Amino acid sequence: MAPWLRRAATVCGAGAVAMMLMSGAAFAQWQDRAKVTELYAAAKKEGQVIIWGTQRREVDWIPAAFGKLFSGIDVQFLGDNDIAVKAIAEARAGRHQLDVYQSSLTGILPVVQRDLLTNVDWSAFGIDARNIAFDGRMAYTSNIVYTAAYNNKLAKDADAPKNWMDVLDERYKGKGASSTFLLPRLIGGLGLAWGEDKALQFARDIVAKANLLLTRAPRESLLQSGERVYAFGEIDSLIRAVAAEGLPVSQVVPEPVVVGQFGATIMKNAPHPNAARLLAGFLASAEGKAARLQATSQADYGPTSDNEFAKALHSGRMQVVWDRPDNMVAREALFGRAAAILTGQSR
Amino acid sequence: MLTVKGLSKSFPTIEGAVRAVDGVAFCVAQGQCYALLGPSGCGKTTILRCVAGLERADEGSIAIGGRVVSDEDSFVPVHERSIGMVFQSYAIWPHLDVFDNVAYPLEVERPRVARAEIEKRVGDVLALVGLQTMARRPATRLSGGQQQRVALARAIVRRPSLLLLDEPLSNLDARLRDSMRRELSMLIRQIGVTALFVTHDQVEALSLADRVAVMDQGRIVQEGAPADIYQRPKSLFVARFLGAANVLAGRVEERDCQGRVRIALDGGGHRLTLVAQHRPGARVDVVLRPEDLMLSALAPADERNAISGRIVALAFQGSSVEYEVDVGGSALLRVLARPQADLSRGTPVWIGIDARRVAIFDRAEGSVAVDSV
Amino acid sequence: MRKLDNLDVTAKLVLAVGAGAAIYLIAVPLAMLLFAAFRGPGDYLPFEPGARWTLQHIRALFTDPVIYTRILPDTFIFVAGTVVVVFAIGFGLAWLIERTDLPGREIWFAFILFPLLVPTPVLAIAWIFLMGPNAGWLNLAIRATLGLDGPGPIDIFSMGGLILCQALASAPFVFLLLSATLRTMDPALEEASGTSGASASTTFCRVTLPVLLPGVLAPLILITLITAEQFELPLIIGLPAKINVFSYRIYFELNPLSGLPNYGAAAALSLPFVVLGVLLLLLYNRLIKRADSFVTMTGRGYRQRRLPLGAWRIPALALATLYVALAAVLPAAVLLWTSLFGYALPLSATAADFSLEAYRQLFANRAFWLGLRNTFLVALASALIVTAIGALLGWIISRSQLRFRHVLDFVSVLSVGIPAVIAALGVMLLYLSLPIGLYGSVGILIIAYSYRFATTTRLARAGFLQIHRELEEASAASGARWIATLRRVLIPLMLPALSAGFILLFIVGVREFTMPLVLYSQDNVVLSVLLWQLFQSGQPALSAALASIIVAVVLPVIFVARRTLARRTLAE
Repeated sequence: MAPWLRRAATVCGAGAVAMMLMSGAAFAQWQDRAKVTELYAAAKKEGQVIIWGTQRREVDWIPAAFGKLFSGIDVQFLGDNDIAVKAIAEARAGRHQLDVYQSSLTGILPVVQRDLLTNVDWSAFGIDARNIAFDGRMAYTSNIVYTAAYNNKLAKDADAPKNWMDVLDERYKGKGASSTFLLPRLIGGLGLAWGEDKALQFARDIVAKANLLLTRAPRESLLQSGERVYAFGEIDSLIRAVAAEGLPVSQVVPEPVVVGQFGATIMKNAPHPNAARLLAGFLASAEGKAARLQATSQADYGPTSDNEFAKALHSGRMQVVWDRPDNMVAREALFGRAAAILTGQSR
Repeated sequence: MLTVKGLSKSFPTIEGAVRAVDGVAFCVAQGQCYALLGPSGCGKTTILRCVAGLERADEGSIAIGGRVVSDEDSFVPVHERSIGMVFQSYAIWPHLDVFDNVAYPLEVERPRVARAEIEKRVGDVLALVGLQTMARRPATRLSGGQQQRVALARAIVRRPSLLLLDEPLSNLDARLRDSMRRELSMLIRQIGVTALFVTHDQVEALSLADRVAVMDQGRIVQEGAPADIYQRPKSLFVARFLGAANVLAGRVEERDCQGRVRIALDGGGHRLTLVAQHRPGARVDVVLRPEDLMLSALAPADERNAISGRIVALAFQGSSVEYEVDVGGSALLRVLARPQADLSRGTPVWIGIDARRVAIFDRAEGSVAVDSV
Repeated sequence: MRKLDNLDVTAKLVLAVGAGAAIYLIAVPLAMLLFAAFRGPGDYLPFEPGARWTLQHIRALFTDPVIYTRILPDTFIFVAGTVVVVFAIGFGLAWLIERTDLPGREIWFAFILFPLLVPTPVLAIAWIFLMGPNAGWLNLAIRATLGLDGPGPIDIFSMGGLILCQALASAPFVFLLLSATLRTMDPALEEASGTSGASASTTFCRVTLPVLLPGVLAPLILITLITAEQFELPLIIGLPAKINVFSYRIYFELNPLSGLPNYGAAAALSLPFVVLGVLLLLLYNRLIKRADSFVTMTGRGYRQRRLPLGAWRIPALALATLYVALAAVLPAAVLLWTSLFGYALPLSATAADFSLEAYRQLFANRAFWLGLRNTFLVALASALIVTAIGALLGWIISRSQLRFRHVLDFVSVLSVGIPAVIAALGVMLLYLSLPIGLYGSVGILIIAYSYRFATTTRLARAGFLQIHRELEEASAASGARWIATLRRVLIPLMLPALSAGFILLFIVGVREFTMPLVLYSQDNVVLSVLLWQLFQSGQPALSAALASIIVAVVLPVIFVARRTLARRTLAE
C-alpha cells in the first residue's frame, strides 16, 4: 500500500476507535455512574413504574426502549387527553398512582401550580442545565414545531405558505384544514412574536375569511381524500410519521417558527420514587431522545441537539418563538382566547 | 237484499292453497236475519268479510240490494257499500268518546249531513241501545257490554241496507250474553234492517236468526229455518252441531211392506221400529235428542220403542234434570226431563222414544268423526 | 293491585334493593351536577380547596351574548330539523316494515339497525368521505354523471348536511320505537272506519293518525331530548360548518384547549338541559299513559293485516335501499377499505396496497384483547343490572299501590336528562373519595353505565300491561310467594319485552365511549376508548380495523335481536 494511504487509514482507524471510545465513554458515563447504578438497584426492588402522557403514541414505545437499558422493571403507561385532571383528582383523593408525567409545558402548568411535582438532580443522567426547568422539576425530552402540511400530489412546496400571515390569502380559501386543538396553540405562540392584538385579529380573520375546515378529527384523512389540500398548524413529527406510512404528504415550516416543548416530570408522592427517577432520567437522556425519535419521529430541537434543523433554529437566521416557562402563562391565556374565537364561542 | 253466488276463496299456506270458501251460494231476503253457523275454520268469517268488501273473493258474485258489488270484473270498495258492521273486537275508536264514535259514519258521509241532523240521529240510536246517558264518556272507560252497544249503534246510525255482525256475542260473559241476545233480537226486528251474522254458537244462531246455514269446511251443508234444521238434520254433522245429541250405532235387520224397519242397536240388544228408507243390512247411526225422550220407572204399554236401562247420574238444572242412563251400550244416553221424585241414582228405568222425533243416517255417509257441541 | 302487606319479607327486600339501587344510581350524577354548577372559580376543580360556592357560572350562562345570538338559534334549528327528518325516515321505514308486505323484512330490519353498532365518530368520517364537497365519492359521482363543476353539489359541512347525518345516525332508534307502536294497533279499527263509509285517506286522517299519535309523539319527544344532547356529529361535522350548538359548548368547557376542564361552567350549562328534560319527560309520560290505555282497550290477539304495496313496491324498495346504503353499507365499506388499504384511494389503489397488517397488529396488541374482554363484560353486566332494575321498577310502578311509585317513575325518566359526561364525572369523584377499590376498575364502568334505566322501565311497564293481573293472582292462589311468582310466571311472560331492552342496552354499552373515556385506566380499557385513541393519534388503518371488528362482533347480535325486538308482545 502507498505510504500516504497507510497513514490515512491509521488516522481514520484511530479516529474511528477514538469516536467509539468517546461515545462509548459518553455512554458509559451516566449509566455506569455510582448514583445511577444504586438507583437502578433500588428501582428493581420497586419492580414497577407508571408513566402518563397525553397521547398513547407518545408513551407506548417506552417500555421496550427503557427495558433495553434497564431491564427488570415493568413499565405501565396511560395515554389520554385529560391527564391533568386525573392527576389532580387522584392526588387530592390521596391515591397516588402516577410516577412519571410526560407533557408539554402548558399541559403541566396546572400540575405545577398545585405543587404536585418533586425536583430531581438531573445531572446524574448527563443532562445539560439548559434542558431543565421549574427548579429541576422538569427535564426536556423533545420538541415539536408547527408546520403547514400539504397533499403533494395536489400541490408543490412552492405553493405552501412561507409566513403564517399568508394563510389568509385568497389562494388558500376553502382549501385548508386545521385542528381545533393545535391551531389555537399555534396562535398563542404567534402572539408572542406579533403581539396579542394582531394574533387575535388573525384568529378572527381566519373565521371570517379563510373558510378553514376546523376539526377535531385527524386531518390526514382529509388530505388523503383530497377534500382539503393543506393542513395548517400541524405537528412535524406526526406528519413525518404518516408520510412514512404512505400518505402522500409533505410539509414546510412557515415563519415565525413556533416551537413547542415537552418534558418529563416526577410526581411528589410517586409510589415508586426510584424507578420514577430512573425512567425520567432515561427519557431526558441522549439515549432516550434517540429512542423517541426512532419510535415517534419526535425530535429534540434544543440547544444540545446535533440535529440539522435544531442548528438552523438556533442560528438566528429564522424568527423563532420558543416555548419557555417564562412565557408559558401568557401563551396559554392567549391561546385560550384564540380557541374561543375559532370555535365561535366568542367574538 | 243480499245474493251470493258461487263464492270461492283460497288462502296460500305452507302446505299449499287452502280453499277457505268453496262455491257458497245463499240469499238473504229483505228484513231477514240470516246466520252462518259453523265451527272455527269453516269459512264463515271469510264470507262475511267478502260481503263487507274487506276481502275479495277469487270467484263468484255478491249483490247487495240488487247492485252487484263484487264479481269477476268489478269490485266496489268497502266504504262505498251501504253496510254497517259490528266487529268481533267491537273496534271502538279509543281516541273518541261514545258520541263521536257513533256519529262517525254520518260525519264522513258526503254530501255532508247537517250538524243538527247528526245530533238527532245519534241521540235516537243511543237511546235505542240504552246508552243515552253516556254520550260523552271516553271510549277507554267503557265495559265490554257497553262497547258492544256502541258498536251496534255505530253500525246502524246511517240506516244501512245490510247489517253485518261478526260473532256478536262471543266476547261477552254468559249472563250478559243471554240478555244481549234478547236485546239484539228485539233491536233488529224493531229497526227492520236486513242482517247477516256469523257465529259458532248454535244457541245464538237458532234464537236470533230467521234462517240458518250450517257450514263445514268451506261449504254450506244444510240451510233452513232454525226449527227445520234442528228437528230434521240432514247429516250427522249437522245433528251433532245443533244441540245435544245421543248417537246410537245400529244395523237394519228387516224392512216391512209399510216402509218400517227394525233396527238392532249395538250393545244392549234393544230394537227400534221406525219409518225409514234404509235397506236391511245397512249400518246406521240413530240420533235421539235428550229432550225428546220420555223417562219412566214403569214399563210402557207399547214396548216396541222403549229401551230399558239404569240411571247412572243426574244433574239438577232448575226446571229440568239431565239424566245419564246406562242402556248397555258403550255410551250413556242423556235424557232431559222434568224432575221426578221417584227417579234417582241406580233406579231402573224405561226410556220411551217418539218415532217421529228420530233421525237416522247411513253410517257410511254421515260425518262420524266430527264432533260438535 | 298488590298492597304492600300482601308481600312477604323477601319480596319487600328485593323491591327495596331495586328501588334503592335505582335512586342511588341517579342520585350520584345528579348531585354531582348540582354541586359542580355552584362551585368556582373556573380554574379550580369543584372539590379542591380554594373552590367556593358561587353563582358565577349561572350568571355567565345567562349573560353571555354568544349563547343568545348563536348557540340557541343554531341548536333550535339543528334539533328541529333533525327531529323532522329522523321522524320522516323512521316512520316511513317502520310503516314499510310493519304494515306492508315489503319483501325481505327480516333483512331490512337488521340493516336498519346497523348505525347503532358503529361509533359515531367513525360514521362521521365515513360520511365525510362520501359527501365532502371537494372530494366526496358521492359528489364525484354526481358531478361526473351530470357534468357539473365542483365543489358540491352536496356539502356535508352545512346545517343541512349536519341534520342529514344526525338523522341517519338516530333513525334506528326512532325506527325501533315506532315499529313497536305500529305493531300494537288493531287493524279492525281501520276496517271499522271503512265499513262506516270512510275512504282510505279519510281513515288515515281520522282514525290511524289519532290512534297512533300518543305512541308516536312519545318517541318524538325522547328523540328531541337525545338530539339536543348529541355532540359527536356537531363536533366533527358542525364545527367546520361554524354551527354552534349547546352540547358543543358543554364539550368545549370540558375539553378546553387550555387549562383544566371547567366543570362548573359545564355543569351550569347542563342545568337547562336537565330542566328541559324533566319538562319534556313529564309530557312524555302522559302521552305514554294515553297510548297504553289505547292499547289495553283494543285488546290482544288479532292478526296483523298487511297492506299490499303493488306498484309502490319498487319506490318503497328504492327508498329503503337508499337509507341502508347511506347509513350502513357505505360506511361499512369505507371502514373495511381503510382497514385493508390504508391511505390508498379506491380508484387508484393497487393490489400492493392491500394489507392485513392492521389486523395483525391489533391481534398482537394486549390492549385489544383486554379491551374486548372488558367491553363484553361491562356491556353485559350493565345491561343485566339495568334490565333487572327496570323490571323491578316497572312492577312497582304498574302493579303496586305504593305512593312512592310516582317518585320512582319520575326518577327513572330523569335518567335520560343527564348527559353522560356529567354522570361519569359524578361517578369518578364519588369513587375517588370512597375507600372501596372500585376506582380504575371495570366495576366502576359497570356502575357508571347503569344509570340509564328509563328505556327498560318503560318497556317493562308496557310488558306488564299486557299481562293480566289474574295470572299473578292465580300464582299466589296456588301458594307461591312473590319471588316464586316473579320467577315462574312474570319473568317468562315478560321475556320478550325484557330481552328487547337487554339487547338495546348491550348494543349501547358496546358503543358507549364518553363515560369510559372519563373513567379510563390501564385496567378498564374498552374497545371504544381504544378506537378513539387510535383515531386521535392518526392511525387510520388500525382504527378502521378495530371499528370493523367491533361491528363484526356485534352484528350477529342484531340478527338475534330481530327475533326478540320484533316479536309482538304476548299476543301470539
